[in-house]
Amino acid sequence: MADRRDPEDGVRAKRQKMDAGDPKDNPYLAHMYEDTNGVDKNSSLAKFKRHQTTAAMAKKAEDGEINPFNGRPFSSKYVSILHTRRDLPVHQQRDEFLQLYQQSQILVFVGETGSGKTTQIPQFVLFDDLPQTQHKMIACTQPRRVAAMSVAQRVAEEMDVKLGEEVGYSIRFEDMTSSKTILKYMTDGMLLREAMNDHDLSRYSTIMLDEAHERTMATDVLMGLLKQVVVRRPDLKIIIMSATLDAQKFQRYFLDAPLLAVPGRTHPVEVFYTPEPEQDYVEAAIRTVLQIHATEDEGDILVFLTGEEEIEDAARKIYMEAEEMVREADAGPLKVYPLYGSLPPHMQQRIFEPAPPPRRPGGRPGRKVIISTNIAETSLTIDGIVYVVDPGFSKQKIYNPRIRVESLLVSPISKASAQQRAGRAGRTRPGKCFRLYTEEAYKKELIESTYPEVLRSNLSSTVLELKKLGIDDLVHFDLMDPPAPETLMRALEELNYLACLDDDGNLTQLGRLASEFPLDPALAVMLISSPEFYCSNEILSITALLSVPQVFVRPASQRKRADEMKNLFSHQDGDQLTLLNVYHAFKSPEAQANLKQWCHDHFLNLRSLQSADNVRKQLLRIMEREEIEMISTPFDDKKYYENIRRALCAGFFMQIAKKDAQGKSVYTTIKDNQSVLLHPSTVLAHDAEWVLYNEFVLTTKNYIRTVTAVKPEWLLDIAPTYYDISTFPKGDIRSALMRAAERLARKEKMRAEKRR
Amino acid sequence: MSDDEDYFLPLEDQRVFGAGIRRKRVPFVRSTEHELRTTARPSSTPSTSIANTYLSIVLKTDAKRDGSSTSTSTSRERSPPPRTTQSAPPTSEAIPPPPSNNCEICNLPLSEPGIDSDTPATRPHEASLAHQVCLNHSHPPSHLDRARTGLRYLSTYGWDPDSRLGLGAPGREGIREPLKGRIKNDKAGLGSGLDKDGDRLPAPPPPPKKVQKLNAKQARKGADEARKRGDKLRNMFFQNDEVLKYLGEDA
Repeated sequence: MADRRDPEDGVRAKRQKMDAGDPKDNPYLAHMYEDTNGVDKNSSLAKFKRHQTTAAMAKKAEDGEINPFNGRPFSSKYVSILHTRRDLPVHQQRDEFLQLYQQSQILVFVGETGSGKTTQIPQFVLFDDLPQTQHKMIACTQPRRVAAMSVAQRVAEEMDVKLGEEVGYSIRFEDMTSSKTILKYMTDGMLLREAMNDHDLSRYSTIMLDEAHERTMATDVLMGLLKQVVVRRPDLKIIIMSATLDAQKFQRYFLDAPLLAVPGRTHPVEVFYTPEPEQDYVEAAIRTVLQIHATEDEGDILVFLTGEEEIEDAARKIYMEAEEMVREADAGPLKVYPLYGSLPPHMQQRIFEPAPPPRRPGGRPGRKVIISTNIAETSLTIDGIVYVVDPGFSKQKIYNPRIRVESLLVSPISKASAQQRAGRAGRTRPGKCFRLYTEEAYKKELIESTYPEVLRSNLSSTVLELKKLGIDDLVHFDLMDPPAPETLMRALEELNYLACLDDDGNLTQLGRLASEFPLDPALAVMLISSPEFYCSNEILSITALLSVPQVFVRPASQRKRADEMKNLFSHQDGDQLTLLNVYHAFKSPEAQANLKQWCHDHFLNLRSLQSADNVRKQLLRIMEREEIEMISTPFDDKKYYENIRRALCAGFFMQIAKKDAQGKSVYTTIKDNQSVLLHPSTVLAHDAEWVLYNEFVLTTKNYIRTVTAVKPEWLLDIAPTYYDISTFPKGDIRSALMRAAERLARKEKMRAEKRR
Repeated sequence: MSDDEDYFLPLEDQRVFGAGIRRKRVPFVRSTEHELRTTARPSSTPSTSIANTYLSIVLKTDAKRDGSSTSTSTSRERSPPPRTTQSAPPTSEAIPPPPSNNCEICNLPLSEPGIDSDTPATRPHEASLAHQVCLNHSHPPSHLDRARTGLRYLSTYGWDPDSRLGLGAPGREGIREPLKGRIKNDKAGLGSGLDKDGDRLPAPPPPPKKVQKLNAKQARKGADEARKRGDKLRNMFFQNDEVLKYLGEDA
């Protein structure tokens, strides 16, 4: 890594020397000449000295007539927003914040939800750090794309600038910034990507990691990285923003950085437990909701359940029971809203509708119930919630490196999560939280805080990123919670089989290229090697489709019709090819004429397809930049689909299952020897002996989802080290591979004879 | 039958005289010397058994049994050979023992020499349970396959699989084993599988199966199947190479 960068640095240094005729013109040295510091002399910021400002100075600048950041007069809307902003709890401590910020390089900031930290702190920093004078930026990371976008939008309004100019955002597959941008909201993953090509993050003068308590993979890696960067760059300031009391852990990790805590605007929440454990938590949740509706004062209810199916089921039952209550006991009207990630946005928006009014003047008040996954725990704030029903479970990802399976399991939440859920009841007025478990269970069954993502995931893309970041010593890399050695070993081995790392663990040319793609390494390798199989256009489409949520819609009421429509696109050899057919049909003039109608008629998710289209465009740009050839086999060539299936093997040769000799449609995964079934959603028409799968789904049964039929000869040909027959134990799989090797040898021989 | 030599029968079952030359009894005469030097002479002093010698070498008891303050300094060195007879209790016994009289490992007082003199070295302090528990144990090596490339990578950066340490900056090591998930297939509420003390209850036994009545045909079929299963099992066992070899070809 280092030797690759050195020559570049040399060139940069030389260029600077040549330009250095008048140092005042050199933008890199602007900080040395404060009087011409890039800020308009008439601007209210002209007298500001970096890191020496106070809240009063900033207030004056904010109250001025002219926007100091773009030189335009403030609009009337700005003034009204400014008043509400000043009511936020963080505003009371602006001076205190500035002092700590100026004194120290790293600051831990704790603010409960509703304190205004995400929108206000970056603006406080902007007035003190003056990044425009340094030709640098302020970055504020968010774990979620939607948050990055919506917060940037909000802050642009607050600052009275156009989104994408002074304030912008950057998320995977979408960059909304310009050369004017001084405050950039971005996903933590994007900042990590930028660090891969700029190890010192030299474009930024201050970096804020928001929602650090969520401990996403990218945030954890960034923290480890920034801990190294601050040593190399004393001018860089870091603010870690967290919402929970866990902040001491961050403080310890960052070598006793100072901590500033701002209280949120919350009301007390009374917590109730059940005296005995519940036999059925869903049923108990439904009964609790109805009980609240019957006996408690006005106020909305938030119920936490684990998944889409459970939520829809509970919503239906509550609706029916509530209707009966209205009919028989003159209860107030009750509106039920489900909420989960795969719900279309317009349906998600409905949760913000006000509670229904009483059915007649003077009647019992109406109420809304929101039944949600844990996305309502931190990421979404709904006002008006007074009652929270918490069964104590959520779906959590867990990775087993021994069988290489990442699965979503319904697991008990943590104490921190339970507290967070309870806190949701106290947003508008004192509330109540009903926990559907005993206090004993709370104390004994729940872990302190949820395990960070880095302990629960496959690390292969993270390891590739770290290697690209120039971090070779993965053993001593200072993560807040280092992963288990076995998990890391697995990741290294997978990357080695994918030829992204050589046998000594060094990044290969392929690995370097693969890290340019914001994709899983297997997908990236598949994409990069697709020209060898004359189908890079098609593999690009498939990759894009595999990176977005499910494109097929299958509503419970119209399953049969949906399946019929899916069959229109199905390809007998597998689901990946079926996806490709869908995409081709989607791009046809017939569909493009009225996309909405076409998708509705064919039971396809328009949003997914559109985002796949967008992802494809972004990936295409990277492929063109990296000069990867875009080619296709002619469609009438009989090898058209075979080439695609071969190309799939190039990335997914570690996700293969073979049909068992006896037993119908039971498969065994190669090397990991897990018994699996094909997911019922597959279109695979024949009993394929060998299948490649995209996903291993662990539920009551083990399923493999999104499968394509492949041939063992291809595997031997494409991944000879992984399919080294001598490493396989005696058995069905080994003998099948040996037969395939013989066939391959025979074919080779025949070909050689023909040539003679 | 050259296989005869591999034949092994319990001693009492071996016939003294077999058929053939090899089974003829070989005559022996008595040695001229009445005693063999190699056999152990019945020991008059049981305390000098080889076990004690060994203990005294390995467990450096001797220096400590004296109760002298020099025990710590000499403890690292190899102890002198054990004394067979215990000298009279040292005078230091009367005054309170110096701090060095405590074992440095388990922090308990070393056994009193007075007691030792009666049953010398039969229960050295090092053999006491408290001491053994406090000793640094060597742990069994890690289960990881040493040939894995991932392990080789981690080893080059100084991670030792047997060190019982996780990864991460020194002093802040992480978890050693991957997290385990438990598949939950029911809707049972939190804590419903626990008893009053919060301990996990064993899974309730499955409800007893209903007794099914079979007609003659089914019963016959069942019996047939059972017989076939038995045959299959017998075949599996008796066709095993090792069993065949044991039984000889004829069996």
